[in-house]
Amino acid sequence: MRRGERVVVTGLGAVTGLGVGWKSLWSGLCNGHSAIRRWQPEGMDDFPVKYAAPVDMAGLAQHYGSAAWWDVPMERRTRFGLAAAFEALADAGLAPAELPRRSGIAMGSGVPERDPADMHLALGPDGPDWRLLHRRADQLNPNSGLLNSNDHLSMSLAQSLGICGPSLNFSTACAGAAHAIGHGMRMIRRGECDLMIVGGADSVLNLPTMIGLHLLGAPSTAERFGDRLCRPFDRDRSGFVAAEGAGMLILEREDHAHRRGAQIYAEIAGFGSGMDAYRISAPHPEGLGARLAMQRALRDAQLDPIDVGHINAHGTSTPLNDPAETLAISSTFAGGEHYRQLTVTANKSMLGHLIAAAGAPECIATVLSVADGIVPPTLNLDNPDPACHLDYVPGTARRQILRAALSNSFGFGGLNAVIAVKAYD
Amino acid sequence: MINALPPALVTGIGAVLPSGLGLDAAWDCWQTGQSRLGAFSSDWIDSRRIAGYGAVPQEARHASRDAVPHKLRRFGTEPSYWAVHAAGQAMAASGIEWDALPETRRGLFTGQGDYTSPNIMSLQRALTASDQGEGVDLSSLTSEALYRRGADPFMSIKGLANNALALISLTHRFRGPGAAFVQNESAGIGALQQALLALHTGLCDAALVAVCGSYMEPFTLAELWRRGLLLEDGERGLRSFDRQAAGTVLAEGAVALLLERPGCARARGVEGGVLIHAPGGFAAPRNCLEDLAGSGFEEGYRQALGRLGGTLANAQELAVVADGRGIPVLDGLECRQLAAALPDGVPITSPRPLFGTIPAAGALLDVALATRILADGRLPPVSGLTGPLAPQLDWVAGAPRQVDCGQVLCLQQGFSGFHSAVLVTRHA
Repeated sequence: MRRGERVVVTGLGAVTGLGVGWKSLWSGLCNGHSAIRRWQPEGMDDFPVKYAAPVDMAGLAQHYGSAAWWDVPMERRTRFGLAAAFEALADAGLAPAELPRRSGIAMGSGVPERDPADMHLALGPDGPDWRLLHRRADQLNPNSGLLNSNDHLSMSLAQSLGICGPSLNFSTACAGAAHAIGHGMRMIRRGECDLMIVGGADSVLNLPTMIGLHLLGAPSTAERFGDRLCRPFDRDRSGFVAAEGAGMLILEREDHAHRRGAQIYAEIAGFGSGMDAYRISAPHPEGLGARLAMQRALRDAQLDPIDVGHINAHGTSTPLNDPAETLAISSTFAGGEHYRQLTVTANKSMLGHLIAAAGAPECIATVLSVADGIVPPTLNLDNPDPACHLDYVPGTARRQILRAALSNSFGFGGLNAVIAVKAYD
Repeated sequence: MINALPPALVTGIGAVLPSGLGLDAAWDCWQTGQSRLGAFSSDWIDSRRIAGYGAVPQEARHASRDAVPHKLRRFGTEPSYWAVHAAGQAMAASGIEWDALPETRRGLFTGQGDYTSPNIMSLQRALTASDQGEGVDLSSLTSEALYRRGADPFMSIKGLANNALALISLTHRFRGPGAAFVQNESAGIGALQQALLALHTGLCDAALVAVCGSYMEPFTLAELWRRGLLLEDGERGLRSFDRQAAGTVLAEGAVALLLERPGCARARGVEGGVLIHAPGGFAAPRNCLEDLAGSGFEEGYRQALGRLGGTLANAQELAVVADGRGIPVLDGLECRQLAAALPDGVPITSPRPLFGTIPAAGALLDVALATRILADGRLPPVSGLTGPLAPQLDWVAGAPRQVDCGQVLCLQQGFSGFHSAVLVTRHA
C-alpha cells in the first residue's frame, strides 16, 4: 500500500461492562479488572445462567443523558452503539457537521430484542391474536417495539449524522463487528469513502435471547468460580459469559487524516474471512476456517507470519473454541515455530462475550496494544488446558513492542473473520 | 477516486419465489402479467386486514426443505431452505465442475431480510403455560421453555441472520471468503458488492450471492399494517407508480446468482452472458417508515448514479427496473428522483405489482430479471399501470416492449432507508 493510501484508525469509542469510554475499557483490560458479575434477567431470580457482564445504565446516563437521542425509545444495543459512535467521532476530533461527504457506515448486529410482555399482549386463548395486539398496542414496550430491525443502529447513525454514503450492516453472529471493520477498511482502500464509522453493538441480556442461548448450552451455568467464571484456555472453562456493549472505530484514508491533522492510533492493514463448513454450532476441531481467515488477513496486509507478535484471540471460554483456536494459531504460525513467540490474549475473560459486537472492543484493544506496546492479560487461567499450549499472558499485562497483531472473531455457523493491525510509523 | 471494480459475469441463477422454483417461472409471469400475489393465509395469524401476500407455493417449500440435508434442517428457517435450493440451482446452471473447484476458492455472500425467529411462535407453548391473565410469570416461562420443551431449542441459531450462510456453506461446501448482510431490501446488494470485490481481489474463483427473506413474522406484519403501508383493498391490487396505488403487498422468496470473473468463465467455454457492475448501496438520511415525507432520496440517488456516471449509456441503450412498492408517498418520491436522474426517454418498468415487496431478495430478483431483459430484448410492463404518477416518464405499460438496450439499471428502496443501484450490461 502506497503512503497516503493506507487505512488508519483515528478515533475510538466503547461502552462495555468495564465502563463508558474507550479509556475505561483499556484501563480495565490492562489492569485486569473484570466486568463479570452476578446477574439475572430483569424481574427474575432463578434463571440458570448466573453471571454476565452488563453495562451500567446509570453510568451511561450520566455521560449521555442530556444527548438529544437519549430520550428516544430504542433497544439497548442501539443506545450503546450511538454512545460509542459519538465518542469515537469526538475522539477523532470530528463534529458531525465536519464529517466528509464521502463518509460511510459499517456495523455488526445480532438478534433483535424481544420483550416477553409484548409477546403476551398478542396471545389469546387460541394462540397469537392480532386483534388483541392492536387493542393493546399502547402497552407495548416502546424500547423493543414491534419492528426492531437488525439494521436499526446503522440507520440511526446515518440519520443522526446525515451520512448518505454507503451503509452496510453485517450479521455474521459473533464475527459481525469484525466483518464490519474489515469491509469498512476495504471500502476506504478501494476509494469508495474517505472515512468510515465501523464497529458493532449488541445486547443479549434479555430473557428470550438468553433462553435461546441456554437451550444451545452456550453460556456457562457454573457458579463455583463466581465472577472468575470466564476462563479462556483453562481446563475448567465451561461456556461463555454473556455480555453487552458496543465498540466503534473511525477509519480514515491516511492522507485524509493527515490533511486534517488527526491523531493516528494504528493502521488497519488487512482482513480475512473463511468458513468452516463443518457444523452449525461447533467450530471445526482443527480450526480450519479460522486458519484460512488468519492466512487471508496476513496476505491482505502483506505481512509475513513472523511480523506478527500478538493475537487478540476469540477465546470464548467454551470447551470447543479454545483448543480449536489454539490449533488454528499454531498451524498458521507453524513456520519456525513462531507460535511460540506470540502473545495471545482473551479479552473475554474480563469483558464477557459481546456476541455480534465482540470484535469491536477487541479490535480496539488490539489497536491500543500496537499503539501503546501493552498486551492485556487473560484472567482466570489458573490451570491451562493441555490442549491450549500458547503464551496466553496469564494474570498480568505485559509490555511488548509490536509491529503487527491480529484480532480474531469467529461466529456460530462457522464464519470466521480476522483483522490485521499494523503499528503506524 | 474510486478504483472501479471490474464487472463480474453471471453464470448461474436460481430462485424460489411466489412464482415457484427457478427464474423461468418468474420471467414467464412477468411477461404474461400473471400476478403471484394471493390472499393472505397463515396458520399463526388470522387477519382480514391484510389484503394479500406473495407466498412461496407449497411444492416449492417442500422441494426446498428436501434440498437441505436432514441433519441440518432443525437449525434452519424456511427462508434459509429456499436460499439453499436457489443456491443449488445457480450452481448447477453455471456448469462449473464443482468437484474440481477447491472449497476454499468458493466465496459465499448472503443477505437476509431481517428475521423470522425468534418470534411469538418460538415461545408460544411456554408463553401460554406461563400466562397469568394480567401478565407472564417469567420464572414459569423460563421453566417451561428450558425444561418442558416450551420453546424452539434452536431459536437462537434460527434468529441469527447468517443462518442461510451457514446452511449453504455446509450443504454446498463453501470454505472461501464470506459475509452475511441484514440491511432491509438492499441486503442482497451489499452481498453482491462484496462478491465482486472478492472476485476482483482473487480471494475466490466463484462467488455465490444468495439472498432470502420473508415478512411472515407476526409483529413485523402488525407494525407495517399499523403504519398504513400495506394494501387493504384486495380488489385494487399492488399498483406501482399509479395514482390508484393504496399500499404495498409483502412477499417472500430467495434468489441466488453465481458470479465469475469474465476471463475465468471464458476460459472454461462460457460465451456471452450478462455482466454485473459494481453496485452502490447508500443510506437515506431519513427512515421511510418514520418519515414518509422526506426520505432523502435526492442525495442517495445522486450518489448511487454518480458512481455509475461514466458507465451509464444514453437513453437509447438504457432501461430501468425501478422499485415502485405501491405506497403513494414513496412512489411519488421515487418518481421525482427518476425524473431528475435519468435522461429523457429511458423506458422504466417494475415487476413489483406481480411479486410484491420481498425482503432482501427483491433487489436481487430485479437484477436476475434484468439478465432476461438483456437476453430476450423484451421489457415487460408495470402491470396495472393505467394512471402514472409521473406521466412525463417513459413507463412500459400494457404490453411488453421490444428493446435493444445494452444496459439495465436496477434501483431499489428500503423501508428503513437503505437504497441501492445496480447496473447490468450485456457481455460481448
